[in-house]
Amino acid sequence: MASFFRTQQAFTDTEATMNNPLLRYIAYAIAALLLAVASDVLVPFIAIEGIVPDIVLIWAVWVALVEGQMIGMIAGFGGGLVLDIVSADVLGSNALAKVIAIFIAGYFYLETREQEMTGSFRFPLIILLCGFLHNIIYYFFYLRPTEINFLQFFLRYGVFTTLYTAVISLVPMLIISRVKD
Amino acid sequence: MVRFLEFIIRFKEYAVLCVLIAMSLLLMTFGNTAKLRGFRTVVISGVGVLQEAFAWLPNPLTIVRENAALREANYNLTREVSQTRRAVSENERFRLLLHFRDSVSPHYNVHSAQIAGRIMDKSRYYLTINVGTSDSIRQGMPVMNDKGLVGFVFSAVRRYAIVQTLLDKDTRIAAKIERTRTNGIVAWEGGTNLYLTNVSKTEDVKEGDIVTTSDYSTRYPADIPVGRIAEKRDEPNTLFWKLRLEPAVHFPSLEYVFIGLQQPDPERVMVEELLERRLKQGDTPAQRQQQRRETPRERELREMREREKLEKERKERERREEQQRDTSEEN
Repeated sequence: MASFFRTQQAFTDTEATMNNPLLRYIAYAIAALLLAVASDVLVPFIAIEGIVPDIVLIWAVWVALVEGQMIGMIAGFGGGLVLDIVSADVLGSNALAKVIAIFIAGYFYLETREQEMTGSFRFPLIILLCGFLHNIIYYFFYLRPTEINFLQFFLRYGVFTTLYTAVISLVPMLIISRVKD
Repeated sequence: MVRFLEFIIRFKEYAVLCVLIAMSLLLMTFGNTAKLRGFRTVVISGVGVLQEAFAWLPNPLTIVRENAALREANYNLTREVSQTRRAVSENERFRLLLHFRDSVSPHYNVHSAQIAGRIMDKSRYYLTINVGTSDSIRQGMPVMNDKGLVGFVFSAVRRYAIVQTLLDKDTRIAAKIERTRTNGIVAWEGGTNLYLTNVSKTEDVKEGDIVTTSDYSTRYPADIPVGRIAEKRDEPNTLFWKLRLEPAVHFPSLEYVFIGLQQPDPERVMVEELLERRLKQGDTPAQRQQQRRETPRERELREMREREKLEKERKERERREEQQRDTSEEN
């Protein structure tokens, strides 16, 4: 019984946090930081042939679908920047790719119908579209200083990363759809 | 200004997009400053610590791949170990052969050969070797290996030769017991055993004594092991021991042999053949009387004629052999 009340209390606290915009943005920032670190520390454990899903992109798309295009872009920029810092990537490359990808994701934002977008199969499809765009931009800048063939590299890594990210996005989609029900 | 602000507010998403893109491009262009590098180094080091802390977590796909790679590596290593074992064994064998070759070569030129085939029946055991007349192999040359005597070259063609082993009904080898220098004749009487005959019961013979080729042999070099006395049998009604020999060479496992390239001294062969002929003709009193009546000059002339006759016969025989060889090569 005590645990039930504790759980109820936790839900109430979460709801209060989500209603306060400032706390919400702080929560987003912490989430971005944690996800960026997790994508570098834990996500490699689910790598397939060295390809890992972009969980920061999933999170940024979710923010864009819940908060709108502008907040989503800022979240994407922040998340991408943190990811660039922790992953020793070219500073700004992830941020730029995510900003543009999330700008597109923002067009799918429907006010008052956030859960409908994030808790249905539209979510992975939006991830697929945004991931595709994100990886084109990211790999373009990633391969710019090298002589590696962009198309070959993108087809090998970009497409698979996008597909894997879309598959992984089914997990939050299923969770959100359960919460919605 | 108000209109500009209104425009900005109206298109705030585009404005934010442009600002963020500009910031990203600026960071990409100028973000590699010393201060930022230091900060990033600290952050990356921290991430490294975390990665190390979670290093114990397994990646199932990586484990599967690693397992497959390890299995393959294991298979390859097992194969390599087997190859190495074989190489070690082969090396050991070659080393023994080389040692034998080195030890025998100063006195005796040898040519190595590999066994290419075996021909066996009840009373004969032949080996086919992968050298022939093109390698200066000739009929009658002795064949041995690091363990001892194998036999002699029975016939040779351009690239192959047949070796008649000691396990043959025609085997007769002048041999001696190494310890006592007692001479005898080695013969084969079936199976895988040889017998040393013509050794008097008065001679000191022990089981385990090594029997080698004798200095009296015209075909084989001296002191090549033939076998070891495995059994000494005292047979009634005879003055000689029945000595069973265990051959020095294990014929079924024979792989490499050496062929002695020196042929017997022709003069020695000739004189021995002369003796044999005389013995065959019979050393009768009439003959002895005739010989006694001969003056030294007459005897010398007669012996010279006999020698010439034998020499002619020998040459004729060699010519016939050469012809036979040529015919077989052509075939």
